[in-house]
Amino acid sequence: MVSPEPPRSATPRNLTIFLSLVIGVMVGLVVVAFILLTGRLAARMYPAGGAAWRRVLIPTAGALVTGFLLSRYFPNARGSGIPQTKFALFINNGYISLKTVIGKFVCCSGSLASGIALGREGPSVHIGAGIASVLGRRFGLAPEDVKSLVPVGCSAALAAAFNTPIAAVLFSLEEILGDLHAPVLGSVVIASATSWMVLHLVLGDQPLFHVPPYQLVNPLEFGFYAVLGLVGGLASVVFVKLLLRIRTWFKTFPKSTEWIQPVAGGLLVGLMGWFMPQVLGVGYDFVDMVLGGDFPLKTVVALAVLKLIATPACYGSGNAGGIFGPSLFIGAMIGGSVGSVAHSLFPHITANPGAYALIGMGAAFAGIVRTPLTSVIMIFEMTRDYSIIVPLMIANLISFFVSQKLQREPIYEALALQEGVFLPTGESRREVDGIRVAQVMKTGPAPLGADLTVPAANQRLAEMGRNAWPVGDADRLYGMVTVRDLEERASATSLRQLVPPDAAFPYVHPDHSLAVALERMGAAAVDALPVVSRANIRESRGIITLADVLAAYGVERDGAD
Amino acid sequence: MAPISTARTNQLGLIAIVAAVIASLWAIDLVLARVDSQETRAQARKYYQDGTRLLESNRALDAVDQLRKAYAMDRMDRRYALRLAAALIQANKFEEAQSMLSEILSRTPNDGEANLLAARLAVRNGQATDAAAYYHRAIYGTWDQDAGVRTKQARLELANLLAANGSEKDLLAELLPLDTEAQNDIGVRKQVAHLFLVAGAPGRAEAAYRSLIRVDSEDKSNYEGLGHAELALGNYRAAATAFRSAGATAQADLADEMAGLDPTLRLLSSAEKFRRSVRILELARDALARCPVDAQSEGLLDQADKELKARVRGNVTNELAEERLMLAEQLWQQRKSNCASSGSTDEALARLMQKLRAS
Repeated sequence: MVSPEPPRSATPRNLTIFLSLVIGVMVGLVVVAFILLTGRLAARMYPAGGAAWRRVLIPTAGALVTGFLLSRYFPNARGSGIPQTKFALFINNGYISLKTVIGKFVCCSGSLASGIALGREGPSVHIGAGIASVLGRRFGLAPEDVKSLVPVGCSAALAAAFNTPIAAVLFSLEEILGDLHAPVLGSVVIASATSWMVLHLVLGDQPLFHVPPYQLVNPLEFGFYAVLGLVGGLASVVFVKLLLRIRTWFKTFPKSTEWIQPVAGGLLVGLMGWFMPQVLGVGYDFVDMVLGGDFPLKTVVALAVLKLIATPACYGSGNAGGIFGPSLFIGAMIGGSVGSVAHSLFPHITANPGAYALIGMGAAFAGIVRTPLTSVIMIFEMTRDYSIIVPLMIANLISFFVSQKLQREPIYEALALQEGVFLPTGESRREVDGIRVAQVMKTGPAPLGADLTVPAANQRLAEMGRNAWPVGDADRLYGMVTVRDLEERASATSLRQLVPPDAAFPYVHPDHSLAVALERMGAAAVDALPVVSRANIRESRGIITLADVLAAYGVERDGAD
Repeated sequence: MAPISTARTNQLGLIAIVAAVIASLWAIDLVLARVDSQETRAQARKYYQDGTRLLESNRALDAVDQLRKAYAMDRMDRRYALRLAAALIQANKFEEAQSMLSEILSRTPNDGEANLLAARLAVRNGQATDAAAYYHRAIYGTWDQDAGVRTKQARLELANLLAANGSEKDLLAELLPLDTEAQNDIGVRKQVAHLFLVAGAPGRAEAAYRSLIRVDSEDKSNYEGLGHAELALGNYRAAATAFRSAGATAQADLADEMAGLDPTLRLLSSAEKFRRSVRILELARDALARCPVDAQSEGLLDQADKELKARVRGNVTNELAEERLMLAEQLWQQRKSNCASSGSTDEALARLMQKLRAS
């Protein structure tokens, strides 16, 4: 056995598939209800032509009521829902209580309908994960299996909230699990597809945003999209830093004030809404309009700036709601601004500002949420417009790199850190996985010669402080010899008798990750492995030791070389 | 066996509860979706009505705001998209209007209203060929209501475009069906009559104006149009009569002057034709003399003076008249190259020369 098997699920496969379907249907229905209820409540609170004072009073009152409910009854329903879902997944064995699910639904509906400048997708993900967790427990699943249902609920929720089934799957794997090859892929896909079908059965086939058919007018436009990626990346950094600062600042206040803190966010967004009503709530209606046409530059710039302040203030002060929606809103406004400037300067080689607003959405999402693959697929799915895919990729990647460079910690990881929790993120996993055997292995040490006597081999291993070492000659590896082999067959005259030239042995290739090297060392119970060519495993490229691996991870072992 | 059976019963019970929850959620969602749809549509309708009112009172920018909201709320209603596109055109937001119309036309390429708007947009953008194509699609496209009136309007707009671009043959091809379609629409018939003149069909114009006069003998503009048609046909006396009925005295005098000058009229005696040719030569000479004179002009003027002073012995013949007319033609051409603008005093002569050249 080369690598250890993952813990075997105690749940029959049929039950897993059944539960994935049930989660898909139930989460889809709950999320649709959440979206519709929030929308209808908002329409009643802000009737067309309503007085301006409502825009100040309602968010303030909404924040007060939901702040009290969150503080008194649903403390775990605060915030976006993504970090909370990850807490549950990585720390609480997938446990999310029914009370939290209900609290998230009620508080977020009230909060978002009252005009708090946050989004509905993060809460939907938390609600979806919670429903999956509750169902898993009710069906008597083992904690490990309940845990594996959490990303299933997440993908079902996101598929319904954004109407993006593929992006939902990717997000669950890329951000929630941090592993695109996770074994729950099948269940995640089933739940996402089921939830999406429920959405379509209830609400019909309408994309979240309607975008006119845009196209690249001139290859020079790539330059403008690159600029948009840069601006989107910088805005993302400002957004994340501001949000973290405000959250930190609010955390310095006494715990007893927690229930009233959201009012600060509500009042601020209300005052902004007095002058510009579009800043209130999720704002997708306005995004839809900006995507379709060209709005005055000053309007889109003002809205980008206001939302860039309003959302961190609402989130930081402890209101319930997510940052997905606002990041799309900010991106659309920034894109609209860059597009307006580009189009007014170079009308013949640039597309309508709406096209830039569309790309800006992806750029801001990639910069803030730091899931570049998800953001490309999500924008594509939301708009169903393939022609924008290349500019979208360019802007997204630039924004992602700028954001990564200037704000090291991804937002959800940083928020979790503020709570004193160290969560593994896709990004951090990728960083560790990113170190390859070739970067760490040593090419100097030679294998033990096949003609070496057993006592001499024993002595060499003792000198090196290893429990195993490759055996071979100058141009061929025979295999591995361990201290135990030498002890058990001390009567052998040479290593050739212990390790025949065609013996099977554990090894790694230079392009393997250190995680694979560690797994294989563990499985074979050795502290060194030969690194061999992919073309010929008898051809040695070097040797990697446990000490080398630990040193690469920044861990020094006593007595390690 | 008993514990397994109990566990199975529990699980079945749980499945039943889940099914009941799903059914309840489904019912709640359907109710919410219905309420949402009704309220959203009602709100969209209100925005549409407000936008339409604003558009009708020429507040295009405000109308765009309202119609944008209506369209964002209910994209299935084609009327909202079309009205928004119309408002965008009126608000000079041509690019956005173009994009909107492209979207509508990609879904419904035969939509008459969308094609008409696209044609108007193309006219504004100076794309006459595209505009003509859109107008044709609008004329033969589908309309929700008032198809006859709207297609007539589209054809009339197309005719005006063709008239502006000087496409006489195409214009005439559009006017013939339009003349038939517009039998009960006096306003359109008046325009058609005028456009017949522009299309170089004065006979049809004359008939159209006479028909209009039969319907409304008080409308002086019909008489004026008739006068122009008769003038173009060379019926100067009839033109003068029509102009007098229209109260256009100056034009009537012009027609009279032309009637007295035209040497091509039938039944003129040779003597009269000669007299008229001498008069035309005289007028042409005077017209050239009023312009800056060069050597070539001097030669022509001398020749004209000689011809005018020369006495004709014996019977005057048509050939003598033709000689003078040819010289007058040369003088007129020289005058055209020497003088940039023609004075109003030469209008009758100009028209006659045009007629003579054409014949």
